[in-house]
Amino acid sequence: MKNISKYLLTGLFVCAAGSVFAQSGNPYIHDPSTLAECDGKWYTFGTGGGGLATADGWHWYSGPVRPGGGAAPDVMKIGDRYLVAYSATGGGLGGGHNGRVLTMWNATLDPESPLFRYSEPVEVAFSDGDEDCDAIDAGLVMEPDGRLWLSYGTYFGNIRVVELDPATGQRKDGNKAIDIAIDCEASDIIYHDGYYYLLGTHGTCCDGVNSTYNIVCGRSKMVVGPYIDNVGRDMFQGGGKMVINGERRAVGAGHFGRTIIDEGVEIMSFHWEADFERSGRSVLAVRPLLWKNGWPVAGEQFKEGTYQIQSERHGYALEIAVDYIRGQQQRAGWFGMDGNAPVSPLPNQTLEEVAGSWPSGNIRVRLGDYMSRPHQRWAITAVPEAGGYLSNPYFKIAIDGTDRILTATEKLGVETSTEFTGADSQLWRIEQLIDGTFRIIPKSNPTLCLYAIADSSPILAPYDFSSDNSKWSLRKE
Amino acid sequence: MKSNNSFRLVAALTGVAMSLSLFAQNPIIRNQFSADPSALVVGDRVFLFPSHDIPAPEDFARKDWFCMADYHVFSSTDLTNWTDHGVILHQKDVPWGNPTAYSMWAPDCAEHNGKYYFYFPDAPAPGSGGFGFRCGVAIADRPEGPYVPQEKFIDGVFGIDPCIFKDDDGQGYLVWPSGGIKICKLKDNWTELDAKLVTVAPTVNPNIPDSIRRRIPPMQQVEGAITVDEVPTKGLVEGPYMFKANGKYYVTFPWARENTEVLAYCMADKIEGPYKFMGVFFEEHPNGCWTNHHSIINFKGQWYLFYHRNDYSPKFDKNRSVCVDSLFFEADGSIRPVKPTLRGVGVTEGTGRIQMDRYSKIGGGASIAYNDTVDYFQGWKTVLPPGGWVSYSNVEIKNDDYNVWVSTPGFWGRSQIVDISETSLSLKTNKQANGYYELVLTNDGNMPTQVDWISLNKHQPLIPASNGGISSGSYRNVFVEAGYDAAAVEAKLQEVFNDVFTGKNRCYFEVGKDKAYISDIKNNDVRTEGMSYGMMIAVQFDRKDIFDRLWNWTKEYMLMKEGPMAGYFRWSCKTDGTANAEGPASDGELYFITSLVFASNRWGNMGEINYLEEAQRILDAIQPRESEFMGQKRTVSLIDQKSGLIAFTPGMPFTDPSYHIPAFYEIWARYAEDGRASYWRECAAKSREYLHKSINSVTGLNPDTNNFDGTMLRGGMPGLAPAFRYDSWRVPMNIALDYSWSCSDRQWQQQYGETFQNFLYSQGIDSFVDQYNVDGTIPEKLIRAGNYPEKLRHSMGLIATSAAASLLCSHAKSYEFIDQLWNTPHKPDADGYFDAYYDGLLRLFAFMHLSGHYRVIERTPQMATYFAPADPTVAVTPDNEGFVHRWTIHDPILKPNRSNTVFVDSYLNETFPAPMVKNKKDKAWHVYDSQLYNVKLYRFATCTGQQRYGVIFWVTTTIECDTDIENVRFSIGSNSASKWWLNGEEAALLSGDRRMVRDDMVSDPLTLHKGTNVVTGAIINGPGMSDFCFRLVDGNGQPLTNVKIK
Repeated sequence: MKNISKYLLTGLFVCAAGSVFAQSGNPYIHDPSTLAECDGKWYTFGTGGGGLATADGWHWYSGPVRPGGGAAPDVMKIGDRYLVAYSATGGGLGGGHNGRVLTMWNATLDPESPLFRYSEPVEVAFSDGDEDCDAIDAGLVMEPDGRLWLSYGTYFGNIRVVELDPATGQRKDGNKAIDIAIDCEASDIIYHDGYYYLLGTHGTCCDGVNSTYNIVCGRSKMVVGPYIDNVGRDMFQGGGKMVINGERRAVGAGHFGRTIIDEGVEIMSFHWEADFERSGRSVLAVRPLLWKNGWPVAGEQFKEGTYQIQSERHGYALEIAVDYIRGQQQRAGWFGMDGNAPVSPLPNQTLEEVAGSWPSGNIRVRLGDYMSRPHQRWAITAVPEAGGYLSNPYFKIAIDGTDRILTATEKLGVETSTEFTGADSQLWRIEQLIDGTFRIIPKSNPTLCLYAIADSSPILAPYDFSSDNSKWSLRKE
Repeated sequence: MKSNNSFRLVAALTGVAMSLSLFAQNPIIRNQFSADPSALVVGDRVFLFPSHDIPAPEDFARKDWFCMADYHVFSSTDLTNWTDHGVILHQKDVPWGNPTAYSMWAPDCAEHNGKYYFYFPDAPAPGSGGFGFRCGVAIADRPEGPYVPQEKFIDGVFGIDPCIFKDDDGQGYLVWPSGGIKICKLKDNWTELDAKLVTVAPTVNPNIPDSIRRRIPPMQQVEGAITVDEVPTKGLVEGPYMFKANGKYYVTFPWARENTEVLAYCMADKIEGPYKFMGVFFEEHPNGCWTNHHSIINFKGQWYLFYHRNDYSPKFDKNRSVCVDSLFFEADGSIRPVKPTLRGVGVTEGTGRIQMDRYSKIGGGASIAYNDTVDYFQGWKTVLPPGGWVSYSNVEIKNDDYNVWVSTPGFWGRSQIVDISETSLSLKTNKQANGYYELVLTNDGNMPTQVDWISLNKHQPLIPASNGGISSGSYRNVFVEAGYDAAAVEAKLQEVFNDVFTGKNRCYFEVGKDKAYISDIKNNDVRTEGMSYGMMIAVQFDRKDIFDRLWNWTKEYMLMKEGPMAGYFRWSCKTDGTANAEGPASDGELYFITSLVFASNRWGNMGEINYLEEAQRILDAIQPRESEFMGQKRTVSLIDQKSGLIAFTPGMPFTDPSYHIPAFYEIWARYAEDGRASYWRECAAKSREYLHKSINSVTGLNPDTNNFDGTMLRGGMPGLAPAFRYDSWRVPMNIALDYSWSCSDRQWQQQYGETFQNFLYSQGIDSFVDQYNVDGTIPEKLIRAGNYPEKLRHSMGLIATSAAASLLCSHAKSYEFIDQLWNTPHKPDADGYFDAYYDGLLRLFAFMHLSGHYRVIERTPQMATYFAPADPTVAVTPDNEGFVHRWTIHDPILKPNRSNTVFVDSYLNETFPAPMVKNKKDKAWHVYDSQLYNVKLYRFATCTGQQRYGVIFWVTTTIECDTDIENVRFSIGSNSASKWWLNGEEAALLSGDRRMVRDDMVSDPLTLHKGTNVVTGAIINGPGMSDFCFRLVDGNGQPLTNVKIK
């Protein structure tokens, strides 16, 4: 985090290529479960018994409590309570593979709540020591019609799926396990638009900066498979299309979990086996989850920089309402132009050239045809001390090089004010949607987002994924 | 919502072995919550009647309130070891009570005219005429029950916390809080107040609306009762206790003096009073626990205060635990204030677990912490910084020949037990004036360390498993733990096996080329019992030959193929196969099914016998059927439908405790694939519940036959009341099996094991006999074995099964049971009595158990699933997708690799400079057709019993072509890295961190020559499950299928 505070001080954040813009606090975990929300906090469980929690989505701390130890749990809210699936054993390279997956309920995930109490765990799947399965790494999935399934297994044998009773969390009587993949670990099945997607982790874990973990997927019309990848290969024959692998400063992506934040807003959580910015420790990571041509794609973490904020509605960009000042250029006539005469680059219009003409107080914000003029260029910088949300810290949005701060007004509009006070109306949540566009939400009123109600008129209005009015493209220069 | 989702505290799942024998210290009840302790001295025992806090179940709305559904009773002769006698009264069983009110608050009990009167508050059921809390009474012949609740509550008593006080003249008084404290004489029936009851309008909360108030029945007020009105008027006074000491009457009570409760008292010279308020003798709990209920007794000349505190529920003070400390009087009769301790009272055996965290003194910065912050019942540990120390007083050291063992909490809650010399700790033993010792444990090192407990024992302390073999796959070798040499144990086990199957006194006899039987020689017959035992032993010892012979004989002669019991087995035949009976005995079916399921797991079902199908056929046959039974049409099944318990014989309305092996049902649920998994799991739970009721909690003995509710069977053979005899010997071993495999009933079964061994030990370890009444007395009439004379014997069978119970025990007595089994030869008694069959089989089972060789047989992958033997002279073609199935595989060659991560190109090239050439005479090459598109090398290794990890597999195949074929490519996936050659030329290298992925890598174009082409591959397996897939594709990527492979 040293980097960020330094950039904040200079006001000139230049994103170092590949630097990990990681969750703050102590996000150290291995094999995180899918994130689960409980009473406004987010929880994830990891291998060993503990896990991580966050009140704001960005600052993580150790806190969740889970008995039974073992490896790689998963959690799902069903009705008004939480089903936790975990393996009582640890698997292990070259070790025994007597595995068992157990489920248990809790009315809350908050260990401080008087309601916090786990039901007695029940076994729902197992593997004997030397069969083609290693019953750990639980993943829960619910079909749209309410049928509940559990996938499990490791590189030792097959990934299997069994059906559970969503009322009891127990295995359905007579249900036989079905093999759906080989050579995976950390399986998780998700449903999207008519398909089930099996996310598995390939590669090797637990070897620090040399861990080759990477997340792949295939898809099927049915929970029980076959899961076919983008080139038609069955995951039972080792197939799988990459979703995320190593980055410049972090490697070993594993243990996928998908969380739907809102319609069209999804994130994927996983761990990096090694975060190079944190001594190569295993950390929780969150990325926007995008869908392209029917396949899940890891979105880029939104990074600081100078952006055009372009409305998806018509294509106009966010700007402050100031006089348009013509740019300067020596022009020659079209006719008789000497193609061989020397040319030279023209400078862009600078802030100094125009800022003097701007009003001194608050300025209305509108949408206009983008010309890369100073009044259209927005510097977006993180404000980590203001907390954050699952995928990022809050951001400050200002006209580049100025203190013209994008601010939500009480009249459900936006303007720029002249001083950054750190008020919630000046802090913005920027989230990538599943189609790659963004929504921009003021911290002061999280039920509203920046909304192009007309081609030229941005206001604050409720988010609606089905309307391009809610969506923005953030184009970096 | 179903009840099996009810929220219960998760205990017993993590790895810390909980010490279940209860060794002194506070709290004294350590396997459940317990509160409001009322102690009662009966002879040389203290009985404890606490209320039983539970976390609120789903049907109890007030999650933050007191919640109690039943009462347990505990007893102890030394205030150190406490026996849980189980539930004595449940809210469902109170005739006038609300069955779902969870209001079984503080009770009390006293003896009167040889009966025990148990007074308890409860919420009346709607319509019972009661309101609020009323006081009931339940009566028993013995302090541990069974208690029979009276039909009606006691008129005139309103509210909670009854106390029964019996004066020296035998007069009983009921004491309860009622504004002040009321003391009222009981009539001689002890079920009614001896006072005038006056009906008055109810005084209830004025906030209650009139509409409800009208429905409250009138109250009866007691006239003529004694009222202790010297109690403080400010702050709630509840939970009074009354006792007499040195001729003075004491009324003690909790009092909310400021915020939480203290204990205060009044004194009087006469029961009528006047009572003088004497002040406080026990301060508020420092941890904030609000309530402070108690009782005071004199036991063997010392006064004790029983009280409670929320030690096992630090965040919720309504889940409490009983503690005890000594109490003293001043010369003037006033009570000296009691300071609560962790050490508590009583003497701790040095050979047991000494929980130093229950210290007498502590210093040097040492502190205590919970072992597990999720499951507080896992107890505490002591954290000792350098120089830190704790002391623990009143330890009994009987024998100076001991080592000091230290249990230190380890990673993920797994404790480690080491000799103290391997730690930085030192232990000092200071002899006290009373002959016992104070132990002082000090950390002399310069790193902090943690201690769960210590033990002064010659051998490594025995620690019952914390996980069952079903889930862990691991089994203890108790002989080795008790100091026997591992090789000697194996040899002895084989010797005992030979005694049964091949020795001169064997009971196993082979018939023809495919059959054999096990004979009960003393009765000269063949029983389903012995046949099924033999099959179980055979599958445990991997003796398919013996198993198949026994099963073939059973199926031929014992299986009833027609008639009303078709599908069952006749329990007895002559040794030539002639039927002796036309009915089954249920334990035969029990063992047949389980051993067949194990045979299926171990040997698969592709041979002559489809073991799983046979097991499933029996499982279907034992389901309910309409049948003529003793002249009546009725439903007959192995498992009684109403109770869910195995019947003595199918259809019989009673059971045999020795037929209860709950873990067998769990095996069926896991492996039998008969679609009844949850039913079998329920049966397992019911069987365990039943055993709790069937077994005497003081002796650990059970009768040979039993009603389904666990009560004694009346009638039977004249003069032969059911007692602990031959059948029953098996119970301790069955429970040891259930523990060792399932571990689902840890606390009760551990207590059972020690109770049972304690009883036999009290009868003499070398001389306990083989028939007892369940109360431990000798039966009037004995049953004789075979044609031998009626006689009590120190039988081998019981020596064996009592030793097997050591799997349940932590105490040092178990070493003696184990030694006795090891050292006692199986030879005829002085009168010639010898039982090769029953004694012999039980002895073998016990040796199997204690050596870790009586196991859940897991599913074992079968070669036939993966490979078929192939004839290399007959060519085959690739499959439709071009995959080559015919491979000649070399035995795995040892090449250790810790990880499969990233085998670099240079490593592969150095390791495999050239292909291995097949030498036809080399016996290490084997020709197979893979059953799957991928060739499971790991399975080749495991199914042929070879090294599986850290190896290199060489494979080769030949491709026969009629003409040259150009532009052919190898398309390969392998786990892990591999290198491939065609006719000696390198063709492909799969380096890095490889997974078995179809079409992972394709070679450059190759040419297959006319004639024979040799493909060779080398595949590395580190710690993984090595396999590969190999196919040929043409220049367009289409599979090549028109070649011949040999």
